[in-house]
Amino acid sequence: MKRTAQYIILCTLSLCTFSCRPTGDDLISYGQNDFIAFYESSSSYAGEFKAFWTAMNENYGIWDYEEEKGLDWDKVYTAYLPKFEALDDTTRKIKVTDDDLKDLYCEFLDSLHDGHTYLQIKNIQTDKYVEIIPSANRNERERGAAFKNEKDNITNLDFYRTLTEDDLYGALAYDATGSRLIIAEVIDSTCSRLIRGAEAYIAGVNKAGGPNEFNDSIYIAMTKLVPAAKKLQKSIADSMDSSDEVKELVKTYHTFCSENNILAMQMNVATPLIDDKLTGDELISVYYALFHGNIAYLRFGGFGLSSYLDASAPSDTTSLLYAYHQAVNRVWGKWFNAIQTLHANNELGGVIIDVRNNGGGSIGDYPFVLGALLPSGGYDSHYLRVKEGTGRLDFSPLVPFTLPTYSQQHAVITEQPIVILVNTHSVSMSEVTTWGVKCQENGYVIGTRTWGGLSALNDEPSMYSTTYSGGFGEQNVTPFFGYVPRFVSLFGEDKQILEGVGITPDKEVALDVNYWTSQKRDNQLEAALDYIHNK
Amino acid sequence: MTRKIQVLLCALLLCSALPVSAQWRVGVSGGGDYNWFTINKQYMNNYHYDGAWGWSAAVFGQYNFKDWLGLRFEVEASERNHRVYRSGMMDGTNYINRNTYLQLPVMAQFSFGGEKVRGFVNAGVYAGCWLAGRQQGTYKDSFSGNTYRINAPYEFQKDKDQRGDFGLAGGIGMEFRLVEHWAMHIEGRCYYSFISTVKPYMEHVKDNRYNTTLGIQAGFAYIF
Repeated sequence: MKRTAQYIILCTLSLCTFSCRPTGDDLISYGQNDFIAFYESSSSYAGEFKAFWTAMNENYGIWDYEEEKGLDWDKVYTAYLPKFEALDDTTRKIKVTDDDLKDLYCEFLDSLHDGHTYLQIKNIQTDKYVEIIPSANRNERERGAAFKNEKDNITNLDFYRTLTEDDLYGALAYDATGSRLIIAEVIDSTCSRLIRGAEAYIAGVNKAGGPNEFNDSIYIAMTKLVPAAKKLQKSIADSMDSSDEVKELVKTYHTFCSENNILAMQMNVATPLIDDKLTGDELISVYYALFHGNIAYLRFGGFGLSSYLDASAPSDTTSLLYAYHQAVNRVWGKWFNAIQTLHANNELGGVIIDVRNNGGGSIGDYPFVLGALLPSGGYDSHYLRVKEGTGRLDFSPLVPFTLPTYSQQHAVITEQPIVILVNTHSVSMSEVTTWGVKCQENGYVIGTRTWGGLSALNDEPSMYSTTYSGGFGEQNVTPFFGYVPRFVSLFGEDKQILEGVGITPDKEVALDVNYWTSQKRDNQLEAALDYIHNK
Repeated sequence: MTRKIQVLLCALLLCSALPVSAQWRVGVSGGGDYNWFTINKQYMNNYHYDGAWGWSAAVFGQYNFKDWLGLRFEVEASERNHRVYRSGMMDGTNYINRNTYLQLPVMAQFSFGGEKVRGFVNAGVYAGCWLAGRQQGTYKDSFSGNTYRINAPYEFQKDKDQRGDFGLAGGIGMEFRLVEHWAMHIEGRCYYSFISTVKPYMEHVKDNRYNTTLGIQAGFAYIF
C-alpha cells in the first residue's frame, strides 16, 4: 500500500512537471490612437514598421489568399526590418524623403490583392504622410493605358439622343441628374436670368436716351455684368471634370453673385447659393435612356441611390438638395417604370445597367438596381467570411450573403437580356452587381475586366472597438493608418476570392478612345445594344 | 494515422505474450465530456469562449501485472467542443465548435479495495488526432446585420490547424465486479493537451490555444 502511495505521488509530480503549456504573446490593439501602442512608431522607422506589420497581421482579412498567391508575410518582416533599421542609423544621418519611404513600403505592399486597402504611413523626418493604395498601383501596372483611358473618357449619351427612334442606337427618351448637372443648371439659369434682366435694363436706358446722373453707375455695372455672366456660363462646360474644378467654379459663381447682389435685387432675380454638399463627390449622377424604344438603360456614378430613393425628401423644398432628391427619384423612376410598362405590354427588349467608372457604395442600392429585376425576398449572391481574431488566419464561419431585392410588387425579368457594362474602374458594389448579372441565365457582361475589389469594409474605422478588425490607427493622426478588408466575399460553388482579379466579362470590349473622342460614340454601349438586338 | 494503429496492435500482441497467470480484460466505455478551450483573446472584450459538452466512446484493453497495478490502453473517439459567443453590439453570434478527436490513451492503473468493489486511479499520456469539426449555432454578420443559422463542417486550414494532439490522461473511478468474468466501472477522466490547436504558423507572433477535457464515463469489461 505504501508503494501504491509512492506511485501516486510520483505521478502527481509528473503531472505538475509536464503541465506547463507555452503561452502566446500578449498583443496591443492598434485600433485607436493609443499612446503606448504607437509610442515606438513615432520616433523610429523600424518601430513604425514593426507596429504596422503587426497591425496588418492582425487585421487584414485575406492572408490565406495572399499566401496562396505567394506573399509570405513573415518573410516580409524578416527581409524588411533590417532595411527600416538602417534608416534609423543615426551615425549615417540618412535623409529619408517621402518618396523613398513610399517606395520602400510599396516594394512589399504592392503585392497585396485586396481591392479596397488604403494605407497611410507617416515619414517621421518630414512629418508628412505617404498614401499607398495597392490595388490602384496593381491595376495601373497591369492594365497599362486602358486604365487611364477608361477613367478619363467618361461617356455621355449626347450622340445617341440625336438619332431617331428607328435607329437601334437611338435614345428615344432620356433624363439625367446629378450634383454637377444641378450646379451647371443653377449657374446657367441664374446667369441667363441676370443677362436677360441686364440687357433689358440697358435697352430700356438706351431707349430713354442713355444713362443719366441717376442711373449712370447702375448702367455701367449692368454692362459689366453681361460679359461676366456670359463668361461664367461659358466656363461651365470646361469646369466639371473634377471635384476641384467644380468647387472652384462654385466659388467663382458665389463671388459673382456677391458682387452683383444689388443688381440682381434690382432685377428681381434670385441668386441661389450652392450647398457644399452638392460640390462634393457624394451626390452621384444618374442617367436614364430608352434605346430603340424598348431597351431601358441606367447609369449612375456610385451606389448611393438608396439615400434618395429610400429616404424622405429634405424638408426645405426650395433647397437644391431637395431638387436633387426629387431628380434622382424622377430619373430612376423613369427607368423602373419603363421596365414595368414594357414588360407588362410584352415589349421589353432588354435592360442595360452601366457601372463603368462606378466606384461602388452601399448594398442598400441593390434593390434599386439588379434587385429591381429579381424576385422579392433577397438574392443569395455569395458567401461571406469575416476576419475575427488576432491570428492571421482567424476567420468566422462561412455564411451565405443575401442581398436585398426590391420588396414591392414588380416585374421579374427572366427572359429579356440583362446586360451590364463594366470596366476597370467598376469597383466593389459594381462588381458584386456584375456577379449577380453573370449568375442570371439572361445576364451578360460586356466591357473590360473589373477592378478586383469585391470584399467589403467596415462602415467606419470607429467600428473597430466592436469588430476588432478592418482598420487600424486614425487617419492623419496616428503614425500609420490602414483601411483594410474585414468582410471577405467568396463566389461560386468553389468559393473563390476574386480580390485583385475582378470579374471577367462574357464579352471583352475595350473602350475605343478614338471612336469616342472623334465622334462621341461609345463602342461598349453599342456592343450591348447589338447583343440585345441580336438576341 | 495508420502507423499509430500499427504501433498499438504490436503493443497488444506483445502484451498477449505475457504470462497467462496475469489478468487481461477488454471492454467498452462511453459517456459525456466537457471541454475547456484556453485562448488568449487579447483585447477583444466582446468575444467569449466557453466550455461545451460533448460525448466520448472507447474500446479498451487492460493488462494487470499485479492486483493493484495494470496497464490500460484505449482507442477512443471523443468530442472536444467549445462555444463562441459575442456580447454587446455583436450579440447574436453564438455557436459551438464541435471537434471530433480519435485518441489513444495509455495509462497505468492503480487500484485498491476489495474483490467486489475497487477504486482505481489512471495516469498516463494520450496521443490523438483531430478528425473533423463542425460549427453549429448562429452567426451575426455585422455588415448586413443579418443573423444566420449555421450548421456546417469546419473546413480545416492546413497552414493553421493542428490535427495532432498529445497530452496527459488521467482518471479516477470505481469498478464493480458483477459476476465472475464481468465488471462495470464509472470513471472521471481528464485530458490535458500539451499541443496547441494552432500550428506555429506565424513566425513572429506566438498564439497558442489548448483543450482541456473532463469526462465522465461508464463501461463494461470482460475479465479473462
